[in-house]
This record gives sequence, structure tokens and C-alpha cells, in this order.
Amino acid sequence: MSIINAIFNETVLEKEDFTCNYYDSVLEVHFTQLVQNSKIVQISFMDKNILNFVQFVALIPTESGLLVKSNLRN
Amino acid sequence: MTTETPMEDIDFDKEAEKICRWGAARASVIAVTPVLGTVALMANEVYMIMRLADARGEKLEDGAIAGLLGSLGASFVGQTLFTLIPFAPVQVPLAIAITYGVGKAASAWLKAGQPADLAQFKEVFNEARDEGMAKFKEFAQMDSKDTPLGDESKKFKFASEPIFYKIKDQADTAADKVENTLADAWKWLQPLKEKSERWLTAQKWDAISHGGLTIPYSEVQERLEKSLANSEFTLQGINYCDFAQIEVHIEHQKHGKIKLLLSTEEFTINSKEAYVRLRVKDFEVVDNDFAQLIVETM
Repeated sequence: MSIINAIFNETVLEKEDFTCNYYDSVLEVHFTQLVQNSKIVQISFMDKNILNFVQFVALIPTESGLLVKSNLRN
Repeated sequence: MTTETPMEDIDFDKEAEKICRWGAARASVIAVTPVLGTVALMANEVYMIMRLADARGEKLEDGAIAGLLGSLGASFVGQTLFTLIPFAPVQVPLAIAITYGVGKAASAWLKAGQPADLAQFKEVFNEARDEGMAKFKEFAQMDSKDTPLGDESKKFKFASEPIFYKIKDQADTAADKVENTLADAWKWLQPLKEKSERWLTAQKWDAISHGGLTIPYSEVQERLEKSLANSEFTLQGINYCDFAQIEVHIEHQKHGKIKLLLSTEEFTINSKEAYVRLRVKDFEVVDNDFAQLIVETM
């Protein structure tokens, strides 16, 4: 793994709607812009953004795809 | 507003069933109209609950509906997510089933006198949701889907007017828009047929009913391929690997191909930030160019 770290460490890939950053065997993908431009943040209910009611808690790889788990906020 | 209410002539259970079916039928129309989406579906449910309360002459406290919907937990969240699936054959049965479930649970809760312990109505919701799923075609064909349910000439006692009218306005506006946009909706959905099939195949009822939405790998790949266009990396493939890991095949412009084995470590989406942190568990060099780079690096 140190080989991969040596090659990719501090590698930053900036695209229009996401930023990819690799450091110490961790690939971090920021997609704030993508979410802010998406349909979900444009949804409001009772004058509040839907993200005030729903929280996304996990991303789990499964055989059929990436499972996004969510909860109702208390 | 008239205060005389001939309650004795009303079969409450029958009226409640009509309202639940109306709500479910209405949901079938709203679900396929992209411009309406989640907000109208939620408004439809709240509107249905208000109708159920009004039919029984019950007064609802402001937080009561939110409390009821909250007690239904993940299943209700699941519905929010369904509207993001661009595929009507998924949205319609689920919207009908869940709306019918919400209605029946609300009806049972109102009949029981709005008890504080809401957990007992979750079972009612689950059973009614399954019934709604089994009967979704019947509900979707009901004529009442395009018209408000209930005869107001019966002079039901509208005890919770302010919220009722707020929600009523939303639902009625939704209904008006439905007529104009339904034809467009089907045209809009047609080109998405292939994409929708991917989404449909990927979903698992158990995950959906617990508030989970599965994003097909083909969808992720398509998105990433577009995003990586004109960069030094090309995504060649992404697929599942054992133990909840994903295998990502990438090609570097100069160095060649490599396969990374990733597991998710952290995932956050809120109104301020959205990111996923993936740990590289293992890697495999796929061709000699990359191997050469590794040797040079070492």
C-alpha cells in the first residue's frame, strides 16, 4: 500500500462538481456542489429544506449498487 | 362555517376507507408528475390525515401529524427517496402503497383517540402498505384520483382549518398541474427507460422500506466517466467485490491501468457539505506501464 501512497499521495483532482483527494490510503470525494445543484436540496416541506428532515447516514457497497441509507431526523 | 354536524348519519370507518383510497389514488397521479414530486406527495398525505381527522370531528394538535409520520420512521423516509428514482413503474405502486398505509395508520390512530404511544400503529401501516401494493392497479384506476374526496355538504366539522387550508391549497394546486403535465411526464420518462430499468433492478424492497436507496453501479460509472472526461484519469469500470467493498478500475494517461479495492469509511450529506471517504484496502497493477512506474517509485 505504501507504493500506492507514494504515487498518489496529495493528489487532488478538481472537477466541476466534485473534488477528489488522495492521502494515506484514503480517497476522499467531495461532492457538495453536486448535491447543492441536485433535485434533493430543491425539495422543501413545510417551508424547510428536505435535508432538515432526512439525514443520510451510510453508503454501503452491495451487489446491486451503492446503498444510501437514510433516517428521519428527530 | 356551519357548526351543525350530523355525525350520527356517517359511517366513519367507511368514510375513512374512502379517504385512504382517495389519498392513494391521488398519489398515483402525483408520483408520475416530475414537477410535483416529493412535496406534493407529502402534502397529499398530510391533507389525507387532515381529512381523516375532520371526518371524525377530531381536533389535531400542530405537531400531531409530524409525530405520526415520524413514528412510521424509515418507511416514510423511503417514500421521499422513491421520488428521486426516475421511473414511474416504481414510483406509482410505492406511492400508492405507502400513502394507503399512512392513511390506514392515521385512521386507526384517530379511532383510538390519538394515543401518545404511536408505535402500535406501525404494524397497521405495514399491513396496509402491503395491501396497497397488492391493489395498486385498482387504486390507480379510481376516478376519484383527479377529484377531491368526500362530500363537504355532509358538514364535517373542520376542526383544524389553518393547517388544513395550507395543505389543501398545495394539494389542489398539485391536482391542477397534474392534468396539464401528465402527458408531458410520460414523454419525459420514455427516454429514461433504459436508465430506469437499471434503477429498478438495483432496488431491494427491504432496503427501500428501511429508508435505503440503491444507486446502480452503471449510474455511478456513467456519472464518473463524464466527470473525469478531459482529466488524466479514465474510469474503466466499477463493481462490487466481497465484504462490502468496491472494485474500481482506472487508467492513467501516462502510467496505465490499476485496480483499486475500496471500502467506505465515512459518508455525509447535509445542506452544507457532502463527501465520502473511501479507504484503499488493496490494489492490483493491471499492465506493465503502471508496474514500471511502481518500480521507479520504489
